[in-house]
Amino acid sequence: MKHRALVDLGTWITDFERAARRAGDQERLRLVELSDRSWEIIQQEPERALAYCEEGAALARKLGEPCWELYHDYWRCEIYWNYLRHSDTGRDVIVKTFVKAQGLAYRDCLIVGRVFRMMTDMLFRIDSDGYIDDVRAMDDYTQQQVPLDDDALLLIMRRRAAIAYIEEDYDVAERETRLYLAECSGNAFRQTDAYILLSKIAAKRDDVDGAYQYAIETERAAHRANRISAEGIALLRQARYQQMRGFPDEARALYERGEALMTELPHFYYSDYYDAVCGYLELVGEIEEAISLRDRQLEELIQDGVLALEIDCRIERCRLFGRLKLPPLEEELNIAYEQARKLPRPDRTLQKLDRIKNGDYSDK
Amino acid sequence: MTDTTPKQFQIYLPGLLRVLAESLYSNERVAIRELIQNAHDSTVRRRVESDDQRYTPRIDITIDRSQPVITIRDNGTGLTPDEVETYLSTIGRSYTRQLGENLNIFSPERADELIGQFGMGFLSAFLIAAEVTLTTRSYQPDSPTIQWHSTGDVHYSTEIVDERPVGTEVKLTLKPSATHLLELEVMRSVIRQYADFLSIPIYLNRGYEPINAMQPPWDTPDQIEEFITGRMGEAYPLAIIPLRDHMIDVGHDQLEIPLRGFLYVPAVSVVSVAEYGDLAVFIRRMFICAEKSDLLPVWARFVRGMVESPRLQPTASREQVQRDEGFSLVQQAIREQLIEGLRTIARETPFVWRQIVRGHRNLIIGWAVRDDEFFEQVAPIVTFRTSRGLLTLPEYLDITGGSIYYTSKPTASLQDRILSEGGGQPVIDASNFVESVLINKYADRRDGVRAFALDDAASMDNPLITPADELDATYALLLAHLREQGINARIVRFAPPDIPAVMTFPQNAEFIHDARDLIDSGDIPAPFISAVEEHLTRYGEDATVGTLCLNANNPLVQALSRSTDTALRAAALLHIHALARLLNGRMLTGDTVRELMRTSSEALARIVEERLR
Repeated sequence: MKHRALVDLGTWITDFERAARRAGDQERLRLVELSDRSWEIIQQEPERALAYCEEGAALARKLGEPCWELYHDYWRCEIYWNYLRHSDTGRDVIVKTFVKAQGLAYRDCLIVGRVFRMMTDMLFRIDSDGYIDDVRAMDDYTQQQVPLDDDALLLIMRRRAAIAYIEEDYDVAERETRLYLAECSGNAFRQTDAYILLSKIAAKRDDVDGAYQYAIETERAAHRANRISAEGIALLRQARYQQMRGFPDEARALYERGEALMTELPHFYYSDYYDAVCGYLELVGEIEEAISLRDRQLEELIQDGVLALEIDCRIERCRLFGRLKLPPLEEELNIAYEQARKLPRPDRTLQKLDRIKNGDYSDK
Repeated sequence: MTDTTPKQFQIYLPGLLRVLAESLYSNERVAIRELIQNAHDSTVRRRVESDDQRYTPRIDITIDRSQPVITIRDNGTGLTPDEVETYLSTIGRSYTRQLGENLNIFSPERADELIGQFGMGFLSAFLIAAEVTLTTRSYQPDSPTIQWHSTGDVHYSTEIVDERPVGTEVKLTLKPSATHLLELEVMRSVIRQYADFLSIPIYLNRGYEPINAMQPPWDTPDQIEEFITGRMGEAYPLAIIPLRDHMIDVGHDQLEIPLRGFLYVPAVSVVSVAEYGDLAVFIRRMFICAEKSDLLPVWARFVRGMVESPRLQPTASREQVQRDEGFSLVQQAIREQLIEGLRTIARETPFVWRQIVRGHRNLIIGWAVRDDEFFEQVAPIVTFRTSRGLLTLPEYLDITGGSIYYTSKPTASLQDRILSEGGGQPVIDASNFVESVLINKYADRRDGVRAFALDDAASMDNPLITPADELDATYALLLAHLREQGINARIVRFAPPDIPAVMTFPQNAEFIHDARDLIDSGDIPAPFISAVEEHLTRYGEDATVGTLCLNANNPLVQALSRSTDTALRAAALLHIHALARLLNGRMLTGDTVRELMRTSSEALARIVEERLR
């Protein structure tokens, strides 16, 4: 059941801005401006974007605008969590914002839906395998009980597809992704996510041509949406698939373009990036470089402090060592088991490790 | 098949004309500018090439709303039949550029007066006109009067017509989309926008006075302020920094950058809404663009101005300047003169500098946080609101000797305020914008300076509360009794001594308290409860437990430590605890307050009873 808000968030902002402009209220106009400025630089300068949000929240408090305070608080969460990848601080800020959003003053704020969704995002990243049922229940509640703006609703749809993907039910994942894609019409930012998932699903099915075609679509949509990271990773994924399809020169060119694009970003340690690059390097025989990148990823994730992501990385390392028949496999596998047992709900992760132990090194 | 024979591009002229005329320029006003510029160059050329000492150049613009026609007439050189063919009807060939190149050798100062370069400006007439008729007679002896006519397609026609005075007249029959230019006010504003400072007088609709100022304000620095408030219609600026030729050190040598114009500081700015940091750019007195922000340093968002330099080169549409080496040199020259100018203001007229800081406080602080060079210039002279009035950081540190105490939250609790003021130190109110970030940056960059946030004055690492663990033995009985009552306690010292105790809580105590409250009251939706609870466990078990800090400086606390009356001591301690909780003000519900008041009353009653006994 869809539970959409009657007013879209964009309209709410525009109306607010118009009223402030009519009234010559520069401080309220600044609330909007701070949001715009923050969005403009969120990818390249997330620290500065964060400063704008903090300023916005403080100003909103001063002006007695609870919805704007929550709006800027919500973007603080996004920046910590998705752009700075400060997981510890991010978790703290997200839970605090979620608790705050339960207050009466914020009840009628449209942004509340996003705060709920953000809380669910957090759990989904902390351990997507372990919390899969909780996440589903949280999304159901949010969709049925909380007024959502269009984007929050789209992201919940996207998660339904992602959950099916994690559960390795690729038919359902594909159907959910297509439903999501249909809702994203004209929204390149969200279309990018749909194509990413479709490309991954095709790859899981060994459909290299399909994976490649969707990676191209991802690149195009990401470019239109100015999603630098997604565009760069899409190029790197194309490189991998072109190499598999027997076009090494084109693959190398795509790899170099992708890497060049990624250097524009100060923070880009998404697992997708490492998976794409390491996959390509492994195919072209640059093994040392691939291992060294996985080392770097592991180091970053340990520092980041999200155990499930660290274990995901260790799983990829085990698979890599296994495929290459390299001796660190046993040691790495033991550490992965040890870490996996620390997860609150480790069953699914342990199954993946068992498969590796039994000699299945594919990333299926 | 290989064919290496050089081949020529084919040009589809109507398409090219349309692109040039309709897409090169961003708006219709530019067409008027281009035609005025052609007229201007033509008069300059006549001054250079003819020997007529009595020659008085002029440009006339007339509007005929009934036709609808705009006519631009100059008394410059005019064109010979050959020149019409060679320059007027050949796109990309500029007579002015050729003349400029020749003049550069013999008379560089005259060459500097010429504006045209690209040989395309005349095309812009078709941006606004469906039909263009140009009538011209050269100043050269025996030249006929020629009429050139085009409707903007690939064809044009010329014919000899009745003799006219020397010069050129361009008659534009306007397209419907450009008829707004027929309004006198619009035309006046176009002329003033683009050609205000051209030295040739421009007359509109046969007026007696030229419509343009003819002289840029930077030629008469005393009148810049009047220009800003009059012609520009802005409020009185706080300061003006005239720009002048500038020497730039290029390592092995010095380079002189010709520079004219001025910078000024408007009265007030609002971050993100009313920021400045822009310049109007002129080249050879002709306006090129406004709001050019990249010529000024990024931090100079509280500065505006006008600049003219022959080092700046226009783009083909002349609506922007090229980002070439000359641009970088001008940029550097402006930056250096601005920094020098601001330093001089701060040094010689500190009153003006304070006005600037007051009017642009948030912009200045914001950019000082971001830009280290600017930070060093302004951080010591920005004033802060403190509990002792406005102070700069050096003035503040003269009082405290090396510590900066500030609050970044607008509402400090009663306990916070008493502690801060009681500590005998002024406290900075850094609740606005990024003042706390600036304060911390200042402390980081100065040896021996430390900054302390008093936002959590109730937390245990409050610098105004000094641990006095060495007195534990003296106060052992008091501490033991409190622990028996389940109250965490410690001995500390703080000012003022009149306060017997304060409560301190760990940093996240309030949040945890609120979250638990919401869970208990069913206000957190069921699917989310376990996620919130799981997060709360990360803070540890004692995360909400407060500590009663008994003040060893307080006479009552001292007296209690010496008292042998156990009952009296117990009652007094309970009363002090209740007072401290109330003073702290955090995490108090109606029930808690009632309970504290009851405990306090009972304790006082016991003390009274003890006295009466």
